[in-house]
Amino acid sequence: MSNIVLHKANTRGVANHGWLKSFHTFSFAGYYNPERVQFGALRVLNDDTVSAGMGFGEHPHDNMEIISIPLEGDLEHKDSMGNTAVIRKGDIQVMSAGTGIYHSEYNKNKGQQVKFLQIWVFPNKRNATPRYDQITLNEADRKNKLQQILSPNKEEEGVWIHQDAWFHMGNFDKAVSADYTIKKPGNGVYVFVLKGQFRVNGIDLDPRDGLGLSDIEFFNVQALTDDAEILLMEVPMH
Amino acid sequence: MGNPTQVLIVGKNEAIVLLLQRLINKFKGLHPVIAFSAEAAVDVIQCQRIGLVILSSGLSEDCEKNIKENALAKNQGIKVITHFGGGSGLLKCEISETFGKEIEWAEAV
Repeated sequence: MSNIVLHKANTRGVANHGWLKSFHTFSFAGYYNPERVQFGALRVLNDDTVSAGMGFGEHPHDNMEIISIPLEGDLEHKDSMGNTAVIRKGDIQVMSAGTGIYHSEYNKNKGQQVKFLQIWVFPNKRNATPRYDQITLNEADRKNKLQQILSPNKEEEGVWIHQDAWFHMGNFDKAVSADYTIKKPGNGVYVFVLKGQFRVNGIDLDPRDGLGLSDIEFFNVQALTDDAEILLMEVPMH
Repeated sequence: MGNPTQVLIVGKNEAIVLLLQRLINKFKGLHPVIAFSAEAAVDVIQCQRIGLVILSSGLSEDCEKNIKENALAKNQGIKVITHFGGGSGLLKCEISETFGKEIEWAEAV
């Protein structure tokens, strides 16, 4: 029998620092909710909006797989490994923080906010060698189907991380549906609606709602509106 | 008001250990002590009344095990946690979960 956890968008933690507004699906920084700590290896799902020209100054990370998915605007990244890059909608960025990495992230535009998802997944080994990668995805490949954007394997489509995790994105027309089959037995999937409305496993979801599914082998997602966008994050539950 | 809980932070990435030290200083009722090696950590555990050990990055599994064993041998009540993320994002939650209650910032972070 499947286990289901529903996190409506308006129940998320909120941090408003003026230049940064962040919604936290799970406990993060000053937001602490013992009922909302993680979904398996998925530990952080932050929905960030950064004001024009502002950003996160240099700060460290370690032992975490950090994935950034821009939704709007341009985000400039610099890190202690010498990487300087701009990521924008359609890109995905991954950092394996491992033994330690420093980076900064700024909104490159002076006249437009940037919106992005910051996702942290526990690594399957501690103290890995830090690494950085980013790719541009072909957004046409997710029209009315699920496009893989992340996996544990270098050879597979999308970026890779140190964890048995698979992420997919899809952009659907109204009434179009897709099936998803769990890649690794025992894994769960956290579904996050980016835009529009979906019905997932019989549950109706609005924008920024999250739905965790575990003890399940497959399920169906159906768009209830046009131009509906969804993110699926399959992660180990133990 | 009682004495603050001594929090030992152990890790090999000096910058991250120092950041965690600054963060622990900002929590009510916690006082940081730092060590950059398992050997130094064990010395601190033997000499000071530590209530919580935070294992930061760069330590081998054997080092982490050695620290845990020494901490528990000194006092079964010492909590030992493994820190992930390297900064302020998860620290409050990790400590709150360990103590079974939400810890509070003494000042804004």
